[in-house]
Amino acid sequence: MTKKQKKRHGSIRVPGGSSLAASQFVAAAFADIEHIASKSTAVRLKCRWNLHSQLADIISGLFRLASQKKNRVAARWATEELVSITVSCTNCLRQIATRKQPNTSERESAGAGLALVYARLGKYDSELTKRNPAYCKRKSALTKQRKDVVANTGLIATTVRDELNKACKYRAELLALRRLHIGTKWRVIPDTDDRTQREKPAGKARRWVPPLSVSKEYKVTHGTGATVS
Amino acid sequence: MELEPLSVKTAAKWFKRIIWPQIKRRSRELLPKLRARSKRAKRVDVGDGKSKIIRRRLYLTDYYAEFRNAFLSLVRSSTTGTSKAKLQR
Repeated sequence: MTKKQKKRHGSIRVPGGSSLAASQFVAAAFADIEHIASKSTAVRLKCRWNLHSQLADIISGLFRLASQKKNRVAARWATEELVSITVSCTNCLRQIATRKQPNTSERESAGAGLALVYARLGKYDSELTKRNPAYCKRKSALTKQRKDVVANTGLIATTVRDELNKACKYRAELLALRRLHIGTKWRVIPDTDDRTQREKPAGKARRWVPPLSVSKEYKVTHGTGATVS
Repeated sequence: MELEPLSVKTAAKWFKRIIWPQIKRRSRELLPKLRARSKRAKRVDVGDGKSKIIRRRLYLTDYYAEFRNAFLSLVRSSTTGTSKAKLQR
């Protein structure tokens, strides 16, 4: 291997300046965290904390860069970076959560985290669909929903769906009634309420309501002939 | 009618005995909308190079096949296929 090839293989030279050698720091930190025998607990904890703060700084910096309006190219790059981080993180979590192992703490936390992501996305799903056409388009393409069959918005399809839902509801109610041994034959129960025996006032009112204050003028005669005021 | 559960096998019966009567009950509301979207028209030559469009009067039974096909495809898609294609009620 020549000197040039060695150089190319080792690191990528970026035109415009030297790199900050962050990869070396990250590799060293991971090595420190991993090796239990060689390092003390305090060192390992410090390394973990350093890595965590670095990661948080990177994510917040990317978000800041994506939100600014001065440099559109940088904003786009930052957004793409955030997307790639999210996708890779979700994949990693999914792999951890679906391991064929008995329930471990990391598996539990991965599952809980994925559930959190799913619930949060589900909460804002309708808003995202309304506001972002790219989200809507990509989602339908990825899930491959046959809109013409499943959620056809035509008049005939919606009518049929409504009627099916109604029929299912009726069927459930009817089955419940049958379970209670209630027949379908209706019979009229004689109304024993006094109001039916009273004389209804003339007029076009659909529902007759007795006056709030019963005065002496308003007298109701029962079948027996007794007068009640 | 026996209260058979809805499946691909019983879908045709369900439509005939349950869904179609329900749709017919809504004919007053549905027919004008269906007529509005109808394309059943015929162009007839009147003479002198003029033509006239004749529209046949439409009834709800004209749409029976469309309703039936829509219902059957709905049932098929809701009972079979992947979980993503299931009917969202």
